[in-house]
Amino acid sequence: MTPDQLATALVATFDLDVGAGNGPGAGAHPGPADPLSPADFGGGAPGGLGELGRAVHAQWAAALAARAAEDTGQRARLAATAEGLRAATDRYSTTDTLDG
Amino acid sequence: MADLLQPATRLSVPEVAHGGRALGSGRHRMDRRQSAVLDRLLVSGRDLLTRVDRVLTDGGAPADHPVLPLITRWRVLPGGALEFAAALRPPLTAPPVPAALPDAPVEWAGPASAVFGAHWAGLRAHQETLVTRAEATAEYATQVSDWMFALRSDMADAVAAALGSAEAVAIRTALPDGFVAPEVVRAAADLGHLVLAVVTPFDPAAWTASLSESPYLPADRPPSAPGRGFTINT
Repeated sequence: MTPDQLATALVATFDLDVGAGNGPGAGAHPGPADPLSPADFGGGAPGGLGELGRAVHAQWAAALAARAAEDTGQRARLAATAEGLRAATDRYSTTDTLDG
Repeated sequence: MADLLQPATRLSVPEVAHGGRALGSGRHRMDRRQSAVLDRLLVSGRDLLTRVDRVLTDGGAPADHPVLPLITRWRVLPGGALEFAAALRPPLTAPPVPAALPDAPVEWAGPASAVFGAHWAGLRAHQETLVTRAEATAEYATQVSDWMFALRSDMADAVAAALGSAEAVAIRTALPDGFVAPEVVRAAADLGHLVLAVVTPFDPAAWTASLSESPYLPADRPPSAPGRGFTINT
């Protein structure tokens, strides 16, 4: 696989937005359409059960935020990588050997 | 009043062992169906358990009754446990698991090859971590959803049994704001135990490590000449 082929595969597989500031691109997952509230976890109940509901909701919300942040960061890195591969392909046509 | 027309039976608290049921098992599918029943029982169940809570508040419970440690553990009366179960809204929908990055043998010779190789190895390692985190998040969503469905299902069973019980008749026919007879106190405690016994815990602490955000650690790479070869600024 040549660098340019890898760049093309990355863009296609992850639906990356290359060359536009390396944003998350169309393939970024949008997150839940209808995010659950603490009340949906029983967080409005009294006593220890309400505390449990709020704790589980907070953990779920934090997990979703963590996955979204990871997705955004990694997609930006992959987009920058694809962009770098394409730029390197152009530069290496005169300075290095491409076996593909 | 329809509840009172059913044959009144003495209560027995079943062994409850829900949570973590195997996906696709008969019990798992039944939990999802039975969970919806709770919404239909909510009005009559809430009315009965409001009375139960009042009796327990005014008259207490018999010494050494098994409802007492449950009230202490959850710091809630039976009516609050019903509201907790009724509020649960499973299932949770997890974000998709990302694709892995290929171990791409890039046909590339020259000094930039080593730079890119180190960078790509770092990206692949991080992507593997993200896949693991996403899979753990999906498993968490499944486990929490199963717990919610099972709790709602078992609460529906408990409320249905309570509504058709002899103890419910005793509670409903007790004089309001009057002397709470011992048999009424016993009936309220038994109903409270029936309801509170279906509440099982979920331990968020067990999931903390596997759900936390994973930071990206760039791989060490040899310096490259600016403007030449593969460079990356992330």
